[in-house]
Amino acid sequence: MNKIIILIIDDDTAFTESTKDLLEAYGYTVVIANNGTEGYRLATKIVPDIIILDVIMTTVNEGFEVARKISETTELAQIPIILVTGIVKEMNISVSMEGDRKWLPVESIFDKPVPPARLIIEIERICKKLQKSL
Amino acid sequence: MLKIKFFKSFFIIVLLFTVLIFITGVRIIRQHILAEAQTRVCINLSSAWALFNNCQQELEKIIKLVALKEIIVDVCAKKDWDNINARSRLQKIYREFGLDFIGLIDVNGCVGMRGAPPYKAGDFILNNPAITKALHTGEENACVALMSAEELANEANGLVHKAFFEIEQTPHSRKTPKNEESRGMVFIAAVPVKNGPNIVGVAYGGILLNRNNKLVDRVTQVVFKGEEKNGVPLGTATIFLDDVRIATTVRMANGNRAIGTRVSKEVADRVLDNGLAWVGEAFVVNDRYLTAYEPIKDGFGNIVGMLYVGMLKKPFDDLFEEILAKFAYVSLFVLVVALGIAFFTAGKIAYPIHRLVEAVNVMSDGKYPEPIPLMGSCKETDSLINAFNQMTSALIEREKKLKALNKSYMETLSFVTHELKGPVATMMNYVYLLREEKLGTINEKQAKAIKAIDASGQRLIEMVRHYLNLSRIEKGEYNPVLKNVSILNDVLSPLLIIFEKEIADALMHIENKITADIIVNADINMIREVFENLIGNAIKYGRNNGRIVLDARKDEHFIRFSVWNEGMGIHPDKIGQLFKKFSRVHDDDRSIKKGTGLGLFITKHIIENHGGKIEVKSEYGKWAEFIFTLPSATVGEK
Repeated sequence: MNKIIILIIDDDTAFTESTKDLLEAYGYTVVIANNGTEGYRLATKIVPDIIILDVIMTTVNEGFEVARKISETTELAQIPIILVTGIVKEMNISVSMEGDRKWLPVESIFDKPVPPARLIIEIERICKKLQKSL
Repeated sequence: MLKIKFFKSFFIIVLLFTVLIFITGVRIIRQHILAEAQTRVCINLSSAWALFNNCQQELEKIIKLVALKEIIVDVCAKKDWDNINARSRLQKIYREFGLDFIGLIDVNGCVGMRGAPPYKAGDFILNNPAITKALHTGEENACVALMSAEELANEANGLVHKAFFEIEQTPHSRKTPKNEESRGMVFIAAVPVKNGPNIVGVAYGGILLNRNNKLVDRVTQVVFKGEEKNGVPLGTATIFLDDVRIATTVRMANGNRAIGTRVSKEVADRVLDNGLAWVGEAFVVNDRYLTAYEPIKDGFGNIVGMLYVGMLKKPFDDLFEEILAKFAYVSLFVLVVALGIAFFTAGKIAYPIHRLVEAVNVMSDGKYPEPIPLMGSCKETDSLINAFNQMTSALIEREKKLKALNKSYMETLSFVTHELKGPVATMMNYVYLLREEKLGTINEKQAKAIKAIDASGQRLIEMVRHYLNLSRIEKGEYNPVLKNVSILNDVLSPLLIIFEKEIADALMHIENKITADIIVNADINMIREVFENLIGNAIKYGRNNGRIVLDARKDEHFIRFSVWNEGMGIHPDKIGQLFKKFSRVHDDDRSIKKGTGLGLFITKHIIENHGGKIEVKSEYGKWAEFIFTLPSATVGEK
């Protein structure tokens, strides 16, 4: 089985590093991008299996834009995105776990900080789904 | 109500004053009418006196005509008492002028000639006031005199009979043994007959007043114009001899003139004994009269009788009643108007106060009332309203400032806590890696340290969450977005994974009775918060090795949830404060497990925002149970 590649797009480097360490400890390959533009570029280049995306980067809704851009790119459209954000409640978004294919094309949304155990369970769930669809 | 109270007071005052004014008015009117009536009766008596005296003067003139006749002078001078011509002259005058007696006296007082049958002569008249005065002073005069039956018998036939009457027994009159009156009261005029300067005799003549109703009838004719009211004469007149009626227009019940009846003792005492006038109300035979009595004096100045005039009181009573009725109508009208004004005024006074009370009630509900418009009814209430309005606007202003201040404070709080999220997330990732020994094996001491860091990190996360929620609640931005949520799948399963380790560490047993068919219509993030708080508390404050039970029961529109745990429970005194902001119910005994004091406040806010209720039950030292309701899922939605 090929190693699952996870792309983390977040400007909080300490967080991305720690998450990389966490996920690598569970056997995943992790690539980091520190802003949306770079994230999109890396995504098109390496085509990851899963993307972990932060909403607030350089601009307030950069994360959303990246998510939309990815979903509009044919070869990236099927990649599940885990949106990790501190603003779910602030924005009164009730999309919750499912996301919304049209408006916010993400697999799941988590309120930051995500408990590590919870994140790992979520990734494992997505992996199972990917394996089934393969 | 205030208005009714005011009106009651006004009503009493108005009524009191109206009654007072009415009583005073009635008294004044009565006095006025009575005074007027008495003045009238006095004037009437004066008129009666004028007629009375006029009658005497006429008599005097008639007698003077006799005394001036040459033939009479001759007879007297010559003492020619048998002169036929002179006698026929006297007879003629006696008849023509309707006198009761007429005669001539010589200078010694001996009657020389009489003009009425039986034409007696030769007797002496020595005690007659008019004759005595004419003889001794030479002055012509007329006066009232009393004559005995004997004297009357001398003067003319029939006079004794005419004068005589039996005295009727009359109630209230003086006690007297007399039961008949034989004396006569007369007008008598005497004129000296002069032959040159010498008095040669006296001509005299008189009218008997006993049973002589002409005079009293004339008085009523002239003074009262003979008017009657319902057959009762408006005015009456009477001549009394002593206290006995000898000529009167007053009639008894049988229609006869009340001759022989007597006046009351009260009047007799005052008028006859003291010579004073008596004016007042009296009951005359059948009706009430306003009366006046004055004494009649004879030529010597002795009181011999009374002259009386009375007016029927009924017309005055009628007048009084008429005025009274009008006055009563006016008073009633004024009363009604005054009450109307009182009602209006009471309303006007009460209304602003009523408005103020309403406004205060609005305020006590924590809202701010609209400014109360000035009523202009009175200065005091207006300034009260002004002060109240100013106070309200000052309060609103102050609250605005406080809100702004609080908002900026909350925004800062929100920002700071938000910024904490990243670092905490990083820390928790590594703590997790260490704990799970993904970064290499750790020894027991390291494990203990990591466990402490983990617990602190959890607390930090909880604080961040709570403070963010608080700031949202305070800013009024914490509104639920409703959606059907499966409690088991969407909320509990992920949560229990997170709590798994903690529960295991505390050696607790969690028992979940909530099944997948429990679906509520709520904001998922908020509901997750509720369960996180309540289960978190149950773990935090539960007994090691204790049980935690989650349960749910469907009602008609709501689902009733219960989070029960064994442990210290909550002291009954603290239950009231449990849901308040920053409450720290467990501080005293479990200082290690400090919370933000916001969890239950936020929980309650969320549940109430969903239209639910939360309550807590506890047996202190044994268990605690949080029970809350959330609306059931709406049909037709997922």
